[in-house]
Amino acid sequence: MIVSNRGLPISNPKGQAEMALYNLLSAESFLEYAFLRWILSPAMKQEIMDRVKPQYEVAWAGHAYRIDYAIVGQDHLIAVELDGFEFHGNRSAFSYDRLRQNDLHAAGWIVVRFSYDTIRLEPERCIAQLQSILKQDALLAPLLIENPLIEQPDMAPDPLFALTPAPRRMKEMLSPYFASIHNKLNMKTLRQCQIQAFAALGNYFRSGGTHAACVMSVGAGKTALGVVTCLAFARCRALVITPGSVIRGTFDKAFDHQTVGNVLYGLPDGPLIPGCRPPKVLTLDRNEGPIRNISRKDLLTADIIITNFHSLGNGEDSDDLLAKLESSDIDLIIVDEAHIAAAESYQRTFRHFKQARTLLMSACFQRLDGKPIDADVVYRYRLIDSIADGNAKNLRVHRFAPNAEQTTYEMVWPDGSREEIIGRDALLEIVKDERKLAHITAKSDASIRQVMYAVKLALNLQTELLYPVKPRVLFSALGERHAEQLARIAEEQGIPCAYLHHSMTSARIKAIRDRFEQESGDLQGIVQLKMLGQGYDFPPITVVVPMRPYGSFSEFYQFIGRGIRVVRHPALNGRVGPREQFLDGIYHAELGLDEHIETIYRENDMDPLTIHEPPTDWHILGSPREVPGTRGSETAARPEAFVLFERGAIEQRIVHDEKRIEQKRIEREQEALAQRYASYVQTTRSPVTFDQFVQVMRQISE
Amino acid sequence: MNDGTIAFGRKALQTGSTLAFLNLECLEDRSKRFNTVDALIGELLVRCLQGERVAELIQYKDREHSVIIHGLGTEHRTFVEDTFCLDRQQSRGAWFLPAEASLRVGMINLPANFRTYARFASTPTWEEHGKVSLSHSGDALLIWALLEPLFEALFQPFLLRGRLVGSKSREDQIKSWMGIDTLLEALGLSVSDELAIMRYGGGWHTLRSQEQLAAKLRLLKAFAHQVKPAMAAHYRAHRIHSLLHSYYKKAGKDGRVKRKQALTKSLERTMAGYFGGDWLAFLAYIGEEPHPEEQIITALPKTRLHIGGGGRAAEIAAQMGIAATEVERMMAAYWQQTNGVSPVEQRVDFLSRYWRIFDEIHTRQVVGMKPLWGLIEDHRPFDFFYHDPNLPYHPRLYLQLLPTSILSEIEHLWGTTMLPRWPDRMISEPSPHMAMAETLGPALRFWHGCALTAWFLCEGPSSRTDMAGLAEYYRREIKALEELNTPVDAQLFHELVKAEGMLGPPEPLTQNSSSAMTKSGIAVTVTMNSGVRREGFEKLRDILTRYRRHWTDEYFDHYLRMRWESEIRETGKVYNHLLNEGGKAPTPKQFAKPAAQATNHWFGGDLSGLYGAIQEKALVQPQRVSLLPTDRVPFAFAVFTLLGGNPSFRQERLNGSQQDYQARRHEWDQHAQLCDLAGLSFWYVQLEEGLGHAPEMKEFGLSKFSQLCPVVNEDVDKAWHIYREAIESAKQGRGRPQLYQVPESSLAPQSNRTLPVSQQVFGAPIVKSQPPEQKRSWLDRLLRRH
Repeated sequence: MIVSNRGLPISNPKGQAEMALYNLLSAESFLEYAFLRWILSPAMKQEIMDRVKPQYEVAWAGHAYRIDYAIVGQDHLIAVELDGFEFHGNRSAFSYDRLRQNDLHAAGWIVVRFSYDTIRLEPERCIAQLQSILKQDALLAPLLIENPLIEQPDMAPDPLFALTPAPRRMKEMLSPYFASIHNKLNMKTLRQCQIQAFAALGNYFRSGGTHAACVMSVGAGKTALGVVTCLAFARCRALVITPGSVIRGTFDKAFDHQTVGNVLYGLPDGPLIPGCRPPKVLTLDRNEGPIRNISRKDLLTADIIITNFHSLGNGEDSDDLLAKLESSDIDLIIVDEAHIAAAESYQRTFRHFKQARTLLMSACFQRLDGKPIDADVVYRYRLIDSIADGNAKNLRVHRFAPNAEQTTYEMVWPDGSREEIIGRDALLEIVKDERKLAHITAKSDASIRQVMYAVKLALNLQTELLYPVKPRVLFSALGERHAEQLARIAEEQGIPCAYLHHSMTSARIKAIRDRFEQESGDLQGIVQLKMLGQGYDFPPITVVVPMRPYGSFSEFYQFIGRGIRVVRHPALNGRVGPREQFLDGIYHAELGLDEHIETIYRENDMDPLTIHEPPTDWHILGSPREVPGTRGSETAARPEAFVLFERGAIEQRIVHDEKRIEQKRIEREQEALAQRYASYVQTTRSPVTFDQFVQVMRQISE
Repeated sequence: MNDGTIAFGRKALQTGSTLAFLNLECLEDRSKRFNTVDALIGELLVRCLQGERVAELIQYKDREHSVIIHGLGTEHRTFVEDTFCLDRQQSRGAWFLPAEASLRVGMINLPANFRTYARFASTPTWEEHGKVSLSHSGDALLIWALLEPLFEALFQPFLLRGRLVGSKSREDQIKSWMGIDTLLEALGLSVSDELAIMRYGGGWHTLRSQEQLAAKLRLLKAFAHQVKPAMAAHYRAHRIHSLLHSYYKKAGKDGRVKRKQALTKSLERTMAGYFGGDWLAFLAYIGEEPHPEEQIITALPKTRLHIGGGGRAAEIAAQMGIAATEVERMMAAYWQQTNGVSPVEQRVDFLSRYWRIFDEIHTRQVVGMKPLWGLIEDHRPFDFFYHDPNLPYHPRLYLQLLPTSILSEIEHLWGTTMLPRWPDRMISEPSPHMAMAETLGPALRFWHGCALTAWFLCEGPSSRTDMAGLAEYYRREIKALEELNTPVDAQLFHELVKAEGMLGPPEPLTQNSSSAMTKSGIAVTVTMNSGVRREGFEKLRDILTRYRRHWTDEYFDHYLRMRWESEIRETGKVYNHLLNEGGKAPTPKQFAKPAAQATNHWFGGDLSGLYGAIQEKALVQPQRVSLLPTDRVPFAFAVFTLLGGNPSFRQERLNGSQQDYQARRHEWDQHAQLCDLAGLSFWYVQLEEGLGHAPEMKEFGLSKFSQLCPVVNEDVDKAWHIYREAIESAKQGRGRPQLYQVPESSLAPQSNRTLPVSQQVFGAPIVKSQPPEQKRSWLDRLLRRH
């Protein structure tokens, strides 16, 4: 048999076409094809064909597994498992593959594994290993080729090619875009944990799995994982589902190849898809008009559709997204913040696109309802891992507990009369409900001021540490009035602060976020209810203040995670590394958050780092921080009486001096350069990083 | 206010009179800040109404006008400069102020004019107006913000019974009179008796002109008699009350509103006049808090240009440890070009090469050659039926004199343009050569113009100016060159004048000479002279060459840099202005108009290139749309003939029998209109490229077309149909008669044509028949007068 360089049969010396073994057996991926072509075919005679079962399904202990190639002998069952990627790191402790392999052993299968790299680099050894196992079976032993003709496999070094469909399956790549992109990913731009998660996903999907989950700590880069998963595994069209507009915005930005910090081209270590054009992304956003205006044709022109689950509908209304898309239109679904994936709209989507593979991503190991995530968790990356790898800040918790017995409360009875109550227990006896007590604490000016003072101190320390990066603080509040109250007291402490509420217009929300997020902006703090509570990553947030009780651990954990991502800034290089950075979580003991904090420590195997000592002047009366209105009755009940601004603060807030104006110009210049960088990246397979590009362009324009 | 008390602004809004307003202001101790401005306006009001000439518009021929307020004391002068200086106002956030404004200074001097000119006062009053830069002095801004609105309102009766007679409806007039009454009441002027006859329905028309004049003088006398400085405070209360009304109309319950929402155009003047453009000062005055999203910009960022540095690729690559080719690739991607040379660098390089050729052509010009009028394309309309090789003007002479490679480059670099209506499209430029010449700017106009003057002064038939008048004739270009720090050596003009004195004596140029023998045997010779020539062109040429080359050596590189830098930097400034005033990046359409010149000069109509140069994110990626045939002039000529134009019309008429004057005139007019329609075919195709479909008549310009279309068909719709058909046919290449292809054959690139310029062209017979075309005024161009 003479074979071409790509291993396709041409003809024998007599000119007669002859089908080789690898052409007689089916292969889904290039890896499977490689196994058939360069391992099985040289090792075994053609007669083994009837004994080889591709994609063989095995059920065991309530789990269904699909074996790449089952070889059924007289006495032995051999499962050939092919791995596209190998774990080289030491954090593969949690692996779906391990559990699966144990089950197969228990079911009586001999598992033999070959990876992409071993087939490519050591085919002779692979053939020998396969033969040594198969010859143990009396029926299979005669089918061995004694002196196998070993060829050097024609396989690209990049293991991404393992995911490429087998030559005969290439036509199934319906989208020319994905066909052109999926093996051109520059994996070096990803973090180790992202590469590991990607590898786990690759092995899972390739072995027939369809419903994967990755539980990854906040700050680990789930968004980038979502992007790379779309590019690598989608064949026709991917759908990214987010729980709200903020996360949708995060994905939208990640796919917007012309913005600073996008995932396609703007990763710190270089572009993810150098030399390639970006996918066509359709973000269904209310700012761009109602979703009902989007036609099916518009949807089908996109390679990737980003939406939030509110847009999915129930498929009964013709304006719903699900009603416009057919089952075969989507073959990959990415769900971010999957701890809320129990929602019926998600499940309906999975049922609608029943052929699609799904990836659920979350930082939480349990859903909002407390149950585990309903998918095969193929990779898990804990907060402690993230901190160790320098992707997350250290968590430093400040818990402040007043002397409960000496706390003075003022009770206002329905008839307007007031009564002073001393001590927590005395009050609890009256209100009969700890949750009410937590709410009273949360809304009390006195409590807020105490916490705010600690926030101010923490910010001062962070400012010193992170200069020139301006540290930010994120608060959570119970309602709009409470948010106003928090913002007012923050202002009193000299923390420029505003609040966000869903009743605001999109433009107003954007304006406030810009003032918070831009270096040229004036805000240092934002009080939000739920808007930024999950999926919002802004590294300069170094202080998080849950100023409300949380019933759901997931929700609390998500909120804390908003500030966990490390700050990366050129000025910090060599001075403040990731391990020197801290996220200060500050909370009041009366809010009932202790248990959640403990859960974070426990689930992440973390040593508790909680500061219980209040600042030294916490109770010193007459200190400069003392301001009028420190009684419990002065809550957010009369927001109209608040004085939000003092004169000096106004000037600082809205008057843009030359420094701020220049800072804004620099930010715009960065955006302009990101846009030009996107053009450059598409012209070369080995581009320089964005930072280098910026340096070059600045030198040129000098 | 948030403390439960009512803000001063709200209370002031409720006051029923200016007096009550001012009393409240005093009571709340908020009037001090206005002491100086009230005193200033009070003084000016008194002086004006008592007939003093208070302000003066100083008009210049070649530069912006300026204004001055006479007779201000030191304190007031200092106050005006501090408060009304445009830069100061902008540093307080008043970027809404215009850079220039048309000021009716005459209105301030109306009483003085009546005192001096009596019945003829109106003319100097109306005529003393002009566009003034508000940045020149505080006086201009003071007039714009306070004095002009005050006196225009106060002298409204004079306008209504003067310049505005017959222009207002009954309702408008009644409304105007109500406004007058309100103002007079606010000021405390009691002139109802004097005004009675002037009012609408007061019997004004029954008065004779002398009586009308007397009535006006009576009113002025009453003003002069009653005016007091304290009225200025009342006027201020009147203006601020209007501002408060607008503010609270837009404000929310918390009393906050953004400045942009509260201020109308007219109220911006009040803000500038009484609060120095400081919004926060206004809010402090009325006792309200700023809107949380308010942004007050105290300065514009300096525009940083990114133009190229193509030559530094290797150096930067070495510094960065990157391959030079990679840096090249980055730069190419940055500019969306095939190489790392920026659009500006490409054009600068080309213009340098072009300048050398231009210089050589003029240097080699000798007596006996064709004049070089036509080497630079100007705004002359097409004359498709007016071919006369003996004329001194040779349309598109550059096609014959420039190398093919240069012509191709001009086509490549300036063959596309952006019209502000379609910033997302690069459409065809009908005259790339003219666009190139405009890019090169005043230096080209000056040196080329001087050379033409030298030629026509010597070789006739006549010149637009002599050498003594040369500096005056080119004063605009000379001034522009001075402003770019690339001045022309004044000695040039002295040398030229001196050399002119040494030219040969004038020799008449003979156009026609015919002899006839009479019956008596006497021979009569009739000779027509069309001008004169003088020997000695080469002397003038050599002086010009010497100075031009010296100027080139010393300044040309700097000149080019200043050309692109000033245009692009100015555009960047406008961008920042729009950005700050709008609070967000201007849309491409908003930006396109101020950016058009720089975009078309230096980026071939690609707006994204300009964005790159000012280092801003491009909000548009223009696409090239090309429907205009590359051989543009033959295309327009084809339209002319397809519409029925006769290219040989002029020759036939000149050689033919005498015709009735009216009929001949009619025929000439018809051909002129056909020429115009043919010229507009470029506009038609540009519209088609921009719109993405063939334009409708309305899109083309109904009035424009209906004026010209009778020559095609009396029915406008039918004419439009015919016109469209003609253009479509011409686009297909039909309708190009052989006749026109001869002079335009050089449109097609000719191979092997390189410098030095062909002797055949330079050896063409001398032309001495028609006077050279003078630069035509806009009125001449409008009336098609040659």
